Amino acid sequence: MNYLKYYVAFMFSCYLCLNSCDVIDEPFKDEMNPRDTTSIVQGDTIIQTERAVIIEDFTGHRCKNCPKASKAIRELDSLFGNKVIPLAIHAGPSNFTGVNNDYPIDFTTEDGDDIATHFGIFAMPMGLVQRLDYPDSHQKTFSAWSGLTFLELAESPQALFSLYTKYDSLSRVAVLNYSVELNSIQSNPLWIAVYLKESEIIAPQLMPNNSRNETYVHENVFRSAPLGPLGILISQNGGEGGQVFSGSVTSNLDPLWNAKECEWVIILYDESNYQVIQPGSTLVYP
Amino acid sequence: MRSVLFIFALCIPFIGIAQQQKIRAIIQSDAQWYLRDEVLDPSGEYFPDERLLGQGFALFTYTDGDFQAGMRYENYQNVMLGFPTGYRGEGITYRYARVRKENWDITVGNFYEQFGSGLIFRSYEERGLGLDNAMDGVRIITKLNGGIKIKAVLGRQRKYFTKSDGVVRGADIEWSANELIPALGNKGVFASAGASFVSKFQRGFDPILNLPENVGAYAFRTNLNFKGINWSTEWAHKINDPSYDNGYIYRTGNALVSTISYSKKGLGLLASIKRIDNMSFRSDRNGQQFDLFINFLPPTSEPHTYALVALYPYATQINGEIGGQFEINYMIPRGSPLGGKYGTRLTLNSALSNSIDKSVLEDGTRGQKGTQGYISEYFKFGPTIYFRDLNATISHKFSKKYKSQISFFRLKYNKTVLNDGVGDITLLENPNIDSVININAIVWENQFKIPNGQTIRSELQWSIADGFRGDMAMALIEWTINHDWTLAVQDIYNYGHPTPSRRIHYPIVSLIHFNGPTRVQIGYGRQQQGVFCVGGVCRVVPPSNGLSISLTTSL
Repeated sequence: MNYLKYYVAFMFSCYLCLNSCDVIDEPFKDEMNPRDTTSIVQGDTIIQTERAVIIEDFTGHRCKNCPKASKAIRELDSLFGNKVIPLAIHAGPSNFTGVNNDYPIDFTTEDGDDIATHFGIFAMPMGLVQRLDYPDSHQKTFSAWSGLTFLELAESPQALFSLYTKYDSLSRVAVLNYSVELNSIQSNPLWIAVYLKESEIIAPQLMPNNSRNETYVHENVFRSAPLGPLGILISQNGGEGGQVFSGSVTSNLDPLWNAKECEWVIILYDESNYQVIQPGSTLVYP
Repeated sequence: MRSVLFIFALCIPFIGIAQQQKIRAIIQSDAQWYLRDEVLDPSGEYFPDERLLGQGFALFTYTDGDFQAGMRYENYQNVMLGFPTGYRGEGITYRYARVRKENWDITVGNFYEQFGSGLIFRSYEERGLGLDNAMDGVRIITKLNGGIKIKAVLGRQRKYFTKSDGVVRGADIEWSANELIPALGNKGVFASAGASFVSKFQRGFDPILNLPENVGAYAFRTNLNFKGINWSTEWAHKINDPSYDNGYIYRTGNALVSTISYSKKGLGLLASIKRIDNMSFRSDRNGQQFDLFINFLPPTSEPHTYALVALYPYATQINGEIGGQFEINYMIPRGSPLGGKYGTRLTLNSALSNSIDKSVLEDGTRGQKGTQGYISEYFKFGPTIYFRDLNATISHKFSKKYKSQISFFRLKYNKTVLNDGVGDITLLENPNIDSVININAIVWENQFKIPNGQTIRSELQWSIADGFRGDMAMALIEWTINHDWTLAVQDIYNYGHPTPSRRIHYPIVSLIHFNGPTRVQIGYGRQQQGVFCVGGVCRVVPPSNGLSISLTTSL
């Protein structure tokens, strides 16, 4: 009888083992989306399953306290990973963002300036967390970002993005295909805005102790807004739960940008209060 | 809500029974007051916004006969520099109830467990690193006739104040031959064998890659002990597991660790070999640093404790390494010319670790996402030297009041891999960035007993390196005033750093007080930037200057 017990246990264990392994045979990649071997690179598809938070950090290379805000972003990244989508917009007061001999690289852009003007950025480091509390108290100091991010991430997602990219390394044309599915009813006009950002840029930065760090690594630098600084209207009357909106955005990358360090950032927001319903991001050139 | 009720249920038995001495508590609290040090950290990059950072925990355990329950409260306000910043906040992170009756041992809630040497499963905590991959689920252990012990686990792993998306399930069977055949023990033979299987489940959303959602691993082990010789071996295999660690390749993984040792009076020998190939195994395929490891890959090098040598620690290379260790301990007998009145101990230790062979696939690629990754010949060494260690120690007690020890070290340390975290495939493609540092060091330690039960211990250390940190010297003096108080002063002078502005002193003063089960340590000084490792798992330590205090007690 004892042997029968062991035999049953052994057979059950074998069954468990066999059903706990997904051995994948080649091809490992989906045949429907083969990798192009010419200059066009098919990117990853991002299918969101969770709520994400965008933090728009208005910063400048001559702003001595701005590295502290960047540090706060790094901490949030460490804490929440890709649920937090940072965007460092070099815009605002020119004494912080302007160019001179010590700080020769111009990170400002017309699109970035338009966003800063729209949100009335007057000091830095200041940030928008999910563009909450517009128009009265939407500018948040970096010490508040962590708490707001935590609260936002605790909410269930109201919409989820699926993102798919392509990039042609010869023509430097990047394409973002997006679709966004609403999880709940939205009654106000809905807008989509798309931005490009670049990381790992080594350039001087004024540090908190007033020193100049020549090899500072600038992350998440806002580069352009292919659909304009505030994006495009996708639905005048909101939408029902389960409704899907799709589109495609194309952009020519500037020759000075490192495509491998560039990322698409997309946001769906409510026009009535500019609050971001859901952001997403994906690499331009995976 | 259910977890709150569960915790409340655990707490009910605690009320009013403290006098029965069935509750134990362990409390630890650490804090550091950071001071701005413009020499150590010129740009202020590492200087925290909060001047005082602190963290601690309290573990309560209640035992009543066959029943045990416990909970641990942790507090990070805010987490100290160098620890993972995911630890932010406070809360009950560990709670469990356990019943042990006859041949059954059942735990629900959190638990730590290990199968064999941990090659495919080890759930453990290492507070010094900030590593805690405790399981939250169910564990069942049972003993059957004939020396068979079975363990089964199911649950999710802790990730800071949340849990992994992936589910881990596994079983282990261990057979002790001596229980079935007692006559073996009479002949001095002790033998056991074991086998384990672990599987993780994590959803895969990537439509380009066909991700395996169920990833299994299995391992076999044996242990044999006969007349002072102990030989243990474990071999593990893991199926395709594309992950962040391996660059999303589909190659299977395997690991082999075998250790043989021999000891008799005055002589000890140890030899071990290890080969690891693509054995990162986490419950989240996108996990990084030491988050959510399901397994543990033991190091086969001696963990050094002397400060200057410990600045070059070895971290196990989970994507592939081959190496081994050999150690001999010999005590020159008392009364011989070299042994003197108390004998002289000699120790020789040698360890090496290299990359494994990673040849290109038939299509000419290597390590590319969505491929088999590479081809590897099993016993062939790769071109990258990770670590070499040759050290010898002579220890002699001259009298009841004085003993001395001198140690010599010769290390080769691959800074690019072990300090900068560059992978071996990147090095194969860019061999010019490989940087192996040669370090020679000598340490002289003395211990004097002086009247009134006091002890003075001193260390003089000197290391020479042909790059990276450069040459350093260190002196330490530790005065044990009595059983309760110890005062230590040390200074490291990095006089040969390649960058002149980094040629600085790192002084530290510390005072330790013991009072029964309570230990209080206060320290003040500079902490050098480096890598801190426990068991081959490492974290980066940023430079800091300040006052630290640590309290540990048990009730």
